[in-house]
Amino acid sequence: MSVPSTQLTLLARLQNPKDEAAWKRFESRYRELLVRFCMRHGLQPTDAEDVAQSSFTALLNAMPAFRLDPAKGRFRDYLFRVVRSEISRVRSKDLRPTGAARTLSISEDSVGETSPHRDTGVDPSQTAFEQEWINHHFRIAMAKVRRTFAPESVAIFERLMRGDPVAAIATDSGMSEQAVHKIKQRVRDRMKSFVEQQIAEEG
Amino acid sequence: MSDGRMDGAPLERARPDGPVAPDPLRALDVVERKAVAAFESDAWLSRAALADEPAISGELAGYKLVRVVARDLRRTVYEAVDERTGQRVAVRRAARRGGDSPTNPADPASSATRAARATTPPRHPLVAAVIAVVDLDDVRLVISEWIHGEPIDHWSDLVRSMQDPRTAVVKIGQTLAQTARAVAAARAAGAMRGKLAPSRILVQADGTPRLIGSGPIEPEEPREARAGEAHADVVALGLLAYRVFTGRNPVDSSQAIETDTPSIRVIEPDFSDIDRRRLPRSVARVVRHALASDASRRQVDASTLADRLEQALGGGGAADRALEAIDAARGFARRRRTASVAVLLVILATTIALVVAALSDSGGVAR
Repeated sequence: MSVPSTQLTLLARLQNPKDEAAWKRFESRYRELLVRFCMRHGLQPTDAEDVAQSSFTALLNAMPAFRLDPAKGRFRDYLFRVVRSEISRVRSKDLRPTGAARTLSISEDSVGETSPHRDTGVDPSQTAFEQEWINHHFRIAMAKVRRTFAPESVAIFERLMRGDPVAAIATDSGMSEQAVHKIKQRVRDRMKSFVEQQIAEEG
Repeated sequence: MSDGRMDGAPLERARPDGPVAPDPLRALDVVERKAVAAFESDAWLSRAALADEPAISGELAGYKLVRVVARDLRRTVYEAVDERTGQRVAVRRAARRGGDSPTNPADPASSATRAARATTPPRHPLVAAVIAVVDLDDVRLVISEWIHGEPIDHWSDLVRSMQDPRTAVVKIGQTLAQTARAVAAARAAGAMRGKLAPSRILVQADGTPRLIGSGPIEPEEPREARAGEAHADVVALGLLAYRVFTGRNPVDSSQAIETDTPSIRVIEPDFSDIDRRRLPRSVARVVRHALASDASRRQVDASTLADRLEQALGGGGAADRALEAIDAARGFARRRRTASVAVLLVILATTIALVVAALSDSGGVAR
């Protein structure tokens, strides 16, 4: 695995709250993960956006004084705690009924200190976040594949993803099944390498 | 708002020696192994499909949200469908100020949900129409016509790569002049707001630009979202022109095309090494004036800039044409040195021969 630098540099740059470019990049990379996680907990899209926004504000305040210690956890753990904290805050605030824009319906087993699953040692909220985190890295890797592979290969990958059989794809695209398998393997290998690299970079 | 304290977070207070790099070779944990292990079977395809599902679902004030098309720190733009009419629309959602706070109680009328108001600015064919404005508790939705098109920077990159330089200049220049007219119209309607980013100008399949993201400006909106001065449009269009003609960013992206600053300090971009075929002198002059440090040298407004640009695309004046010819000759000389020397020698020899012949003729007449 190669020694990463990009993400590390980004995290280091985040210690400077005035580094707007770093924050923009960080925000564009992680906002969707946070929004999807919030929506998985039943927040409306707009409320999920708000929670993501307040999470970034919390991060902005916290990052300059902290440093990542890999011995104590991953960066995703940190992100999870931030967003969970923000969801809890919004939930407690929005227990009072207000207008349509504030309609939240966070499920009972979602987040916070009162989760009934806490005693079992399995935090469903953390599990959900971890699943979203894996999806997040798959999405980034897929975006890279879509940018770097030939359109024909990307089209085949899209069909494979939809569950179309290799034989049908081969017939439609005028290729041998072997060629389709080869493209599938190339995309898989590249995506795997992207995901590994991203994970290493993230810390 | 959270105070940023994260109990149990895996971050510590920074040490004097600064941030410590995570070890890239550390062992994968359970979750990371799970992510990588998906590639050991066809599970990676189903995981990819799952990750690829649209991020949003639901509705907002009667609009079914389809996807997020843009977002920044203050607002989010959705592609959506009007559930009553089936019409595809863009929904821009932004926080409102002056709403529900102890020091600034909300106006009961404006805080009523779904209070659609007919405050749309006058329509202009090049400006995406605002269909409705909807106030919710503390957010405002601006519903606009949905435009199918390519952001002007991407579009111009494509044009430059596919057309010969002269055709590309004319095509891009005409679209840019139309854009300037759209900006002028939005400004006149009081609907010009925020940054004139390339992503706000969508070029349709027929080459027509449409300005999106304009809309009525409300007093409670943040200052950054309000309209700047008309002269700021000229600078923004100058920066945009530099980008679309040359393919290069004129300044750092964070400060580019900012139209909401009352007094703009412009760092003039470098024109010296630009291929004249990409940016002819007459057009470059218009762009340079738009970006002049001295504000008095800039065009007075977007409409004037459009006029000047169209004039320049027509070939400019005789002086411009002469200078273009000299530029072309210089370019030829740089590319074909031997041929240039040969041509010069032929011209010199011909001139000498003509002079000698003329002198001989005059000598003969004198005799």
